[in-house]
Amino acid sequence: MEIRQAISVSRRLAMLMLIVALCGVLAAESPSSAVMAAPTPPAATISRYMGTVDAGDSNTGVTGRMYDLGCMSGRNSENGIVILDYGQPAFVNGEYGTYMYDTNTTFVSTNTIETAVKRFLKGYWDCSPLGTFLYVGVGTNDQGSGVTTGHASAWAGMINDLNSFILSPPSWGSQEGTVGAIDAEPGFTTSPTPTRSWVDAYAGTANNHYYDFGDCPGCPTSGTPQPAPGASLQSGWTRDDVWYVTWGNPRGFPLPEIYRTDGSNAAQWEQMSLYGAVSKSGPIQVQGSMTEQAACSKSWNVTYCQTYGLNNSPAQGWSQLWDAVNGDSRTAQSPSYSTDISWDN
Amino acid sequence: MRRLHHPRRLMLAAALVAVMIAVPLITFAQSKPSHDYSAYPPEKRVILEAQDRAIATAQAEPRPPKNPQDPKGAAPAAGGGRPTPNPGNLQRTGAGSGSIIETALAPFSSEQFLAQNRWVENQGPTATVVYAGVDGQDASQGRVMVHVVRDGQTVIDGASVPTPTKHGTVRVVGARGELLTLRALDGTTFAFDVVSRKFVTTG
Repeated sequence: MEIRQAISVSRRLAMLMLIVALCGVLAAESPSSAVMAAPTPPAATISRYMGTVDAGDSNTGVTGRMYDLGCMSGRNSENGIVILDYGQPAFVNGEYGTYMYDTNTTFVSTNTIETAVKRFLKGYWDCSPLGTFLYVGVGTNDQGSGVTTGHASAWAGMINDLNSFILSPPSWGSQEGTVGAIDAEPGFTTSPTPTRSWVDAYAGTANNHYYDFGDCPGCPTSGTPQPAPGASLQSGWTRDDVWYVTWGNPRGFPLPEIYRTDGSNAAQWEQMSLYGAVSKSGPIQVQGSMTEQAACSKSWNVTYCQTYGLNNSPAQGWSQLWDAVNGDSRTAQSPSYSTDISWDN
Repeated sequence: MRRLHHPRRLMLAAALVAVMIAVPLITFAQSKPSHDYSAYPPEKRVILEAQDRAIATAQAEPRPPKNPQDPKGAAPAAGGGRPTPNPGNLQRTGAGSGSIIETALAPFSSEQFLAQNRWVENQGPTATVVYAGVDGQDASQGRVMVHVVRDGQTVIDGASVPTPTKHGTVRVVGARGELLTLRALDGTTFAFDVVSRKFVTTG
């Protein structure tokens, strides 16, 4: 009797083990487990309004600020995407580049930016643990008369060069990549035409994609009222213009500003995604969120950000975006990235 | 005695079978690409899948060492890492103890603040920048944003100050010492004291 009972118990235990094993397999296989539950936001990276191209001094062995910033990013085990925003497109003395965000609005050529970003990449490589992966989005914006097709081609050429540099032996491609990035904001412009031309020219030269980390002012936050077809949202931009720059272009991917604590930025991008689903070939896939908590957390800036409701934390911004796009089955998706932009560098 | 061992053998066999089934299946499940691009249009899917393949290839290769001196020649040529600042083509005019730079570039979203120009004063390692413009949310509300920057790297102090009355966007048109004159499009002028960070009434 004891033996029978022991066998019976053992059989039950054996069955239980098999069931547990199969459940483990099913859990590992099932994508719905990640989609259905409210996910934990990804750890945010630190993006920057760039005011430096300090690549160090090989004579003295000084590593330079760019190396230090990359190293900092690596030490923080940052994964995902970091935007290094170099400011306003410009063409000076036969060279393309940007006016950057230093106090004196210095012009820096694409060659200079390329050298600087290489130092950032080196810093990240040296200081990051194995297993992380970072896209460095080298950013500009759509402000001013320097937004030209020539500038876009030069920018894309710089990104191509940087990726060749990463993959040249010894390859750092296991942990790094570079992409283009543009802060496309209708409010910076008087017409969408230069920005559309810029992204087209970028796509014509680039081997890689670009991220649009801009905004969508005047875009609807809910199904009603919808803007009339062709209606201007701001500065002559229609909803179709925003859609094209951020997604309609084959190399465009949105990483929008989700600053507002009331959720309206997230709602605008859900509506933009829905516009793609209803009026185009499919919903836009929002890649992640950009917030500005680092800037808003400066003591003297807290009140301003609170008054205008701009101080989303990275987790809040990403969660608002996730909730918004997953509130409608037509736009359901899971954004990958979260980044927060800082003034410091 | 043999029969007494039978349940243990059964359990052992079951555990072995469970492990043999679970390990390869879980490994297979986890080795599938972590990204699902089925919702993407073909032209974007091609880009992303090519990138994933390139990363996977790089990750399969032996990792280069961390922190070698300069394996790729990443260090700039002597003197090339710190280029001489190039002011470019922007109009720069001396004004008071600083200068006015005619650029709308400012580190803010246009939904937050839109600059017209800026006034800059350099004092050793510290610089004060006053961006003049308008609220992104209220086109009638002029505003200045003050940033105090140390070593060109860190914003250590600042202020955000609305014009006392609403006349739209403002620009810096002159300065005396650290007292700035700002003008709105309708011609209304304001005086901004950089030291106290307040709009003041001038006599």
